[in-house]
Formats: sequence, structure tokens, C-alpha cells
Amino acid sequence: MEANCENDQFKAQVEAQSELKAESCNACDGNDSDGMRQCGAGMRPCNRPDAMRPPMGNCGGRPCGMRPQGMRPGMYPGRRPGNVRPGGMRPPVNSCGDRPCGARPCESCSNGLPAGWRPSDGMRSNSYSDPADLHSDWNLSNRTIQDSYGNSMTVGCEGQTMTGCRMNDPMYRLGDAFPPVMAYVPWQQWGDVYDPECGLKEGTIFKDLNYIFCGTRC
Amino acid sequence: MLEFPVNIKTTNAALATAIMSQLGGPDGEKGAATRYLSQRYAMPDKRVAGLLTDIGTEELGHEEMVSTIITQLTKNLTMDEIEKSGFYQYYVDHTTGIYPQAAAGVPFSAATIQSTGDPIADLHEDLAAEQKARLTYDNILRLCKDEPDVYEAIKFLRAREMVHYQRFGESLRMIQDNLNSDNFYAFNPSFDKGATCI
Amino acid sequence: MEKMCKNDLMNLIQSTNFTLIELGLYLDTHPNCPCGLSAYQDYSDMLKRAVEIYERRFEPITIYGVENEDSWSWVETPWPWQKGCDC
Repeated sequence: MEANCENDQFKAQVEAQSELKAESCNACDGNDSDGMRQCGAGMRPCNRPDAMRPPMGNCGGRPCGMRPQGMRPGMYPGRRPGNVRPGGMRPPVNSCGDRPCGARPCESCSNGLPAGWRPSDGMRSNSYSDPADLHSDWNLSNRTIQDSYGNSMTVGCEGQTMTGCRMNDPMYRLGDAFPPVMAYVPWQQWGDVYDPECGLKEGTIFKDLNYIFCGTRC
Repeated sequence: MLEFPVNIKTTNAALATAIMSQLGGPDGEKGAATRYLSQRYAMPDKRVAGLLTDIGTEELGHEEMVSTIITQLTKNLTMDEIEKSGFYQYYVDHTTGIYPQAAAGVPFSAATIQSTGDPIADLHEDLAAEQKARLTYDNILRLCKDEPDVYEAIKFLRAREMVHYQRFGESLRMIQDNLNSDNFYAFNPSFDKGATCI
Repeated sequence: MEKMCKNDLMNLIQSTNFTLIELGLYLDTHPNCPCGLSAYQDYSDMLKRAVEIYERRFEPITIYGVENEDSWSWVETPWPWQKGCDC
């Protein structure tokens, strides 16, 4: 079907197929702890928009720049051929395989000793032949970490907290849409546009791309 | 016709020395134009090749703008101004001509750019280049707050860098779309025919 | 545009030209966006008209727009970097 801004049927099809539905978020009311508010299953900073995806209202109904074939397999019915992931390539999102989520060898859980050091004898072990050996080196005491938003939290080396696994990172909640070891810049959606004279003065016609500089040394 | 009008009414040799970096420095417009126009030949995706051509061409226009800014800032300088501002070091070899070099005097060199023939590496280089140019313009803006004619032109150039960053980011997404997300690095789409491990 | 003064017409050309460059970059990465495509078409038509009128009334903007058959006006007008010229 021809995709265009006026085509409601196309818009409905995209909506139905996509798992990127807008999450309902509580409003930011200034009382939120650390500027975070409840958003779906997790927390999100107050200065980030509610919808995971910009509203469909742009471009007369179809988000400009979004196209089904750009989405990862599994987001739309029918996988692309050849995109089958071999089993065991990467631990599934809900656990960390053998290791407790977020846990690291002694380096973080004990008293700042580097990875592989045993607290008892201070000798560095070169390798772990049995994963059980690895487990025995982990100090199970709690420690305080900061998440990517700067919020402090206490996690145990058993790593049962979701934040220890970074599962609250919105990118991880999209499943395998954003595999690691790669950089992702979000697609720009067609939004507010300046008139030519204003656009020339600002250096861009797109309001969404206009970030002014206001740094001062004093 | 310049991309953005430049009409500077007062000379300022010290500012000209600083802005010189955006002409021939490591993160300057000449380097950017050379980088993008070189990288486009190995891009497997024609839209990305088109974008590199368009941004590379725009950077040539920016090179013209920066050269214009420097020319107008150094026009009719007195010898006193030249001697006292630090501009004399440039002046002794180039008078008030335009020569592509960094502010510290290092001539323009392709050693500051890369064209790797690998689209993922090239686009990451481009993203970094735009951020480096942006921060250089931030630094220049702090220096020219009292010169509105210069400030407006530099502000324009800075905004362009951020738009270019967004475009290169989108190009990287397009390259990713053409690769297998199980292993983006299985092969180089500009060079290899395929990969045996995916 | 036939009645605009030279500076105003040049300002119009410069801002429309920039808008087209910006839209061009956007369309390079969003080649099927109808909003971008229709905006591009509108400004492209406007720019073509404005440039044709400017080059006929005043001076060439590119080397392909030299109108005067008696002399090579391309080198007669001030260059963009020369002070006093807003082009």
C-alpha cells in the first residue's frame, strides 16, 4: 500500500505491528525523587518524553523517516531471511547466564582488589577452570553503585536488582533492537520547521536540532 | 554567494589567529571537506555516499566562509596591531593572505583525517569530527562575544556541525540496517563479498 | 521579486538556498519523507525563479548565470568575500 501522510490504513498497520507503543508515564510533579518518575515498568527522568517513539501526529500521521524495514527482526511480523540468531550467542536479557546480573569478580564487591585476586592470600589467579571457582571469589556484600542517570543505589553481588543489569535502560527494553558494541543515534522525525530567514540565522531549519551554546567562564 | 553572509566591520588580528584553526586546523572545515569527499567513494550505500558528497560540498562552502572571516578581520591592519596581537608570526610568512594552517602554525595536513574504506569506522570518524568542530566553535564563541558580526557567522557554523552529526548518526543507522545485527563486524561491506560465520 | 531591491532579493536567495541545502541533507537520510519532499519542491521552485530574476536584473551568482554578451561580467562584480558585499 502506498505510504503517505494521509493514509490512515497505513498508519494503523504500522501501529498494530510495532511493539514500540507509547508507554503511559506519570506526570512530573516536582516531588519525584531525583527527577525520576514512574513510566511503564520502570523509571524515566522527567525531562524525557513519555512516548518511546515520537507521536504519530507528525507528518500528518506517519512518522517521517520511520520505515518498517529499518526495524530489527521480531518487531514486525515475518523475520528477514537469514537473520536467525544461533542459540547461546548471548545471554537472554532476563538473566546473565551463569553469573548473577551485575556481579563482577572481587574487584568491585570486595575491598577494591583487582579482578581475580582472592582476599585471603592476595595471589592473583590466572584462570578459572570451573565457573564455580569464580563464584567462590565473589564477595556477596552489598555495595553502592550509580546508574547511568547518576542515581545511587545499593546492589548485592547476587545481582538480583534490575538496575544492576541495566535492564532499566530503555534501549534494552526494546529487546534485541540495539545490540551492544555499536553506537545508535536516534532518527530525527519531521517536527517544527523555521521559516528560511529564521533558519539561516539559527543555522538550521529544524527546531529539534537547534541546541544553542551558552557557556561562560565567569 | 556565501552560504551565510559575512560582513565584518572591525579588524581583529588576535581573533583571526584563533579562527585560523577552523580553516586549516585538525578539526577545521578544509579537513572535514577532504575527509567526507574522500570517504564517499568506498561507501556501499548510495544514500550515505550522497550524504557525504552533500556535506563535503557544504564544508567547502564553510571553508570559504572562514577564509572570508579571516580576510575581513585582517584587512587594513596597522603594523602596530600586527606586532602586538601575535599575528606577526603568521604575517611574516603570509602577510594578510589566506594560508590553511592551525592556530598554532601547523600547516594543514591530511594526517589529521582518515578515510578507512570501512563504513562503520568512517562514520564514527565523522561523528567525532563534527563534535570536535563543534567544540572548537564553542571555544571561538567565548572569544568573540563582543564582536556580533563574527559571533553570528560562528554561531551559524557551529549549528551546522550539530546537524551534520545527526545526519552521520542516521547514516550509521542505515549502514547497520544493511548488516546482520547478530554481528555487525562479520565483514566489511565495502570490501568483502560476504561472510562465512553468519 | 521583480520589484525587490538587490539586497532584499539576495537575502531571499541566500535563505532559500540554505533551506534547500538543509532539506537536501534531511532527504539524503529520509528519502521517502513526504513532508520533506514537498517542502523541497516548493523552495526549489522559488529559488529557481529568484535566481533567474536576480541574474537578469543585477549580476551573475554562478558562472552559469552570466547574461551580458558584451563583456564577461563574471569578473566585474565584487567577490563574496570583499567587504561591503552581502553576497
